[in-house]
Amino acid sequence: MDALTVEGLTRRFGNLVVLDAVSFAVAPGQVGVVLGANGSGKTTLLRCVIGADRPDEGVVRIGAKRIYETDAWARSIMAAALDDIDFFPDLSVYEHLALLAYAHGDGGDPVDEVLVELGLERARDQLPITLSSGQRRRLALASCLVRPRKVLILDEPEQRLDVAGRAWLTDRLRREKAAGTAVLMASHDAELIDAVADVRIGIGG
Amino acid sequence: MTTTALVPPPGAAPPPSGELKARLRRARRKHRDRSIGDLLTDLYMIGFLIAIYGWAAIDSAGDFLHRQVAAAPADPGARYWIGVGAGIALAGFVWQGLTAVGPLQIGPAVQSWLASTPLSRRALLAPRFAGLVLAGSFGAALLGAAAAAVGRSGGYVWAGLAGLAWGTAFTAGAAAVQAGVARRWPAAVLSGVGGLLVLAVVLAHGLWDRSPATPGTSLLPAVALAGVLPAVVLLVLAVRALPRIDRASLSTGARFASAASSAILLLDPSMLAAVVENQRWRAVGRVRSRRFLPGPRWWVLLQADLRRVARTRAALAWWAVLVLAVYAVAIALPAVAGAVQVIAAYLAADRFAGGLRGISRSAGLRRAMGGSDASLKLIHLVVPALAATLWWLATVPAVGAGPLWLAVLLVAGVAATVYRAATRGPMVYGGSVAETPMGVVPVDLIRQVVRGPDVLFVLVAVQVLVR
Repeated sequence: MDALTVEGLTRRFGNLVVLDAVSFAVAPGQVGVVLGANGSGKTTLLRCVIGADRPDEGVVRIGAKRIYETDAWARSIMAAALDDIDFFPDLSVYEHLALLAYAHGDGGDPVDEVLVELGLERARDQLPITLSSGQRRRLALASCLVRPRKVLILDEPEQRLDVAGRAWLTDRLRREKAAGTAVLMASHDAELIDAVADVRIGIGG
Repeated sequence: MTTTALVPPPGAAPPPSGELKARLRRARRKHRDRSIGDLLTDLYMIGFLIAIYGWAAIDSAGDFLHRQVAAAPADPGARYWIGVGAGIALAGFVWQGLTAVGPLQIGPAVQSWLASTPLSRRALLAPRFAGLVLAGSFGAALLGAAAAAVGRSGGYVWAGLAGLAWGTAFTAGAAAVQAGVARRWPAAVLSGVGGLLVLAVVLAHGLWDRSPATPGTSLLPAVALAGVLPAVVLLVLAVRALPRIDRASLSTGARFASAASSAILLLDPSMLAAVVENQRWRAVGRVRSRRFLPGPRWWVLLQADLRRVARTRAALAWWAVLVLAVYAVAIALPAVAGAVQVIAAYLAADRFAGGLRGISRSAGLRRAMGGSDASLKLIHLVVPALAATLWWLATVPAVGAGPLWLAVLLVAGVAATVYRAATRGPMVYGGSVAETPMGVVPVDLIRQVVRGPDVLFVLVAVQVLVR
């Protein structure tokens, strides 16, 4: 079982302890939801898991293998959509996704299908600067789907999605579970959490 | 221990990195109307302007320096060793700066769309590393030769070679620090040794009127040759460690670089200052909250500003370093000590103007605090003005007291400079424009950029003319 395991993860900013020895495990086919108030360190936890931030202590493992962001294998199995995503100003929506799919050996869902699924087919040739915040969010989520993945990390994926988008998200997360993906996400949406969560990870008190 | 079969996801056979990068280049080129020829023309023009203005600057700086030396001769031994100490300390600051900004960085888009893929980290970073080392080594070589030209002491080739060797060592070493295979301590050691050397020369000269002798032969060949081994070792170390540089460290420097380039392009240094300040407070993290002593509103605000100062120890260290710098300049180049005193007073006091900057840039904060804008700004000027006064008193033994009215005028002027710079409004890029040899320049933008330095310029002129 290649479960995503976090052991004793601690992150401090100066003498402020944001994450204090956080530990949990999310098995393949499960959704783990990080719960906590604003400022409790949910995003910091997700950033540490994907290696966008360095924890002061603790380890992240897939199965028995410790994850290092510098390891190409780790990057090949871990898809993430956090709020810090940025775009090449001169590449279209389609080109962003095609580039990512190509970089991963085309092992994810076909780009055209993902564009349709996310409702981005009409924005296919648009440059990122012309996208609305909701469309940017959809593009970020699409970036996780056009590539192969065993672990999916999402930071409040429901943000900026309309009602139909939220319904799609719930359905998509169920399909990810069925496909055996371990999903770790932060969310404030009680309905979404109730619909998909298998593991609840409370942080920040 | 459990063994786990780690099977790559189906289809996940990443393409060769060269092909991926070529595909990205082709895709981006399709949406750009700027050709390689345009790029080369721009580079040629930049190089041409740097060569022309750079040579003129070196020539003028050399003339200025030698006029000052002739106007007020100084002890050559003291001047030489102060120069050596300042150079060593500067090297420490350069190391500190390089490791603080990366030195290797990738932009946010590359982080999101390339660094997150299985693309080899070495392939991603190798071109950037090569560019960094080339820029660092040849840039330092040019600076070394330019410094020798300004000093008119000869030894241009050795100075250039020393720059080449140490520029390579520093850039490669900083990349090795980023990868976690080298340490940051050389920054503190170099700054400390350099500072102590300057302090020792200043004390020996001031207290006992003694100065170390100038060495009989030039040290430049030894400095250049001593840099070869560290350059080679650190270069090999950094190249081998490139795959170990993680996304967290690559993104930290990118924030600085982005803010720095925006600050230069938009002529707005506050953009970079804001990022640096955020980073500084983030490193502090948590502080001990205490009640304010009861009293009128101005008294509470003043306590808050003093508390802010107590939490920025680097500002106090900077204040002390600038005091030492004025003493060193007074010994090495006495003719310019007065002007340096005015400029350094501003630099020392400005670090204490965090409260004034905060209250000035936020109308919401001022509304929340109550009272008039003017009273709020004046209350927050008390601490920087006090810092300027104490700093001035500490440097009087080095430069001399001068007439009392002049000291009062200059300290008040420095406080006014701090006030004008800290209360600079947000940049406005519209309005009337002026045609200049450098292109079209918005008049209002220039007015905003010189707000603060304009008063400083007048103060330096007064100091030089009266003394």
